[in-house]
Amino acid sequence: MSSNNQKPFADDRNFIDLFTDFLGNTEGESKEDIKVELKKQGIDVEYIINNVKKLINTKIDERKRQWMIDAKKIRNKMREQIESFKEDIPEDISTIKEKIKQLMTHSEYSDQALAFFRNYNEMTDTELKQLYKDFLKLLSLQKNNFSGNEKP
Amino acid sequence: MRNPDKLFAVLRAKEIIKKLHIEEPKHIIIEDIAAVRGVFIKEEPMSGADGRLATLGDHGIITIRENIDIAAKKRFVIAHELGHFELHRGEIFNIRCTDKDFFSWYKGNPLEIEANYFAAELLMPEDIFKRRVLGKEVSKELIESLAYEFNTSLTATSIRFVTLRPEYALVCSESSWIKWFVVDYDHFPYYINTSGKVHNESLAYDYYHGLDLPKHLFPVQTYAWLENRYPIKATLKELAIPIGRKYNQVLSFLLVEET
Repeated sequence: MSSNNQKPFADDRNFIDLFTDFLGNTEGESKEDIKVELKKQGIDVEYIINNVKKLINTKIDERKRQWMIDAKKIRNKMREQIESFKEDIPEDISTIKEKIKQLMTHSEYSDQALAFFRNYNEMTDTELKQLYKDFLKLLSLQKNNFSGNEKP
Repeated sequence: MRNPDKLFAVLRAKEIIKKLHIEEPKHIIIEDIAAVRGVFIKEEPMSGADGRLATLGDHGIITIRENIDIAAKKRFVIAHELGHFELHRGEIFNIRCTDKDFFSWYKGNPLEIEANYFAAELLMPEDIFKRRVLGKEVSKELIESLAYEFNTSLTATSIRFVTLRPEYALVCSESSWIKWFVVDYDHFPYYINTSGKVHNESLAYDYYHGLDLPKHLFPVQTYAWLENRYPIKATLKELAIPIGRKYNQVLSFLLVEET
């Protein structure tokens, strides 16, 4: 049985030497015999196996959740870039409409520039301006080669 | 107009769930998922819409109406717009979602239906959700606990429940009037009354008339919900869940047990 009171080895080197010596003399012995022999020499195999399993599981979990840590960084990076973007927006709404149309149909992004509205009723002039601003911010992300979306 | 490709939408969401090793509801942090997909989320005053997605190249900005007061609804709006980002880039531009699209599950604009299926799978992944509903009879407590755990609205949770347990049908009524329904006729092969006022033999009717509702499925007359086209030798059960006085809506789960 594993024990939390297991005496620690004086140092790792000592453990490796002991273990290597031991493995050199185990020919013909069963797994159980080896475990008993190791136990006599102060090595609790079950304890070691459990700890290694725990360590592996912790590392696997950490790796699985790494994207959440990355996500926080990406969000901050995007926020910085988007909030630092400043550009004067035309006041005239027909100009804005024309610019959005141009962006969607004539720019190098024409096949990628999209806008979707959830539960759309009618867009106000302010919302059209906001949409245009969003496109300009996205253009700035693209032009600055923002590489925040390291898709896992 | 093409037919909605629901399977494609669901598979796209499943792919993301797998890549991000999402195994529990607590891992579904929608803002983080959007970020690693290249989408930034912000809130702004909006009067014409609940949410908006602008996308250019590999990036997108989702704007949600800042005065949406229910967190679960915000999450659904984000997941829906993320669905457009993942599914519809390059397909068509300048789509406007209408009021009806929120309940577009079996008919309506195919892009909206796909975005809804994507959102439902992302927020309530089939594998995780199914483990919690298989073999269980629907009850108010079950739906509320699922909604709490997945941080989704009672409505979205109920719709998800019936899409994974298609032997149930779901009818939503508002102020006594039938508003929408979700039914898979392959598994629920009965015609439901889907228009007009709720029948006075239904539990939904009881709610609108101030009566207490059972918290579990309760037998009602088959003609309370099913069309009387042919004789049905079956027991119809209903679970009615009110979804807030503000909306004055009732979700009615229907289950037919043939005798």
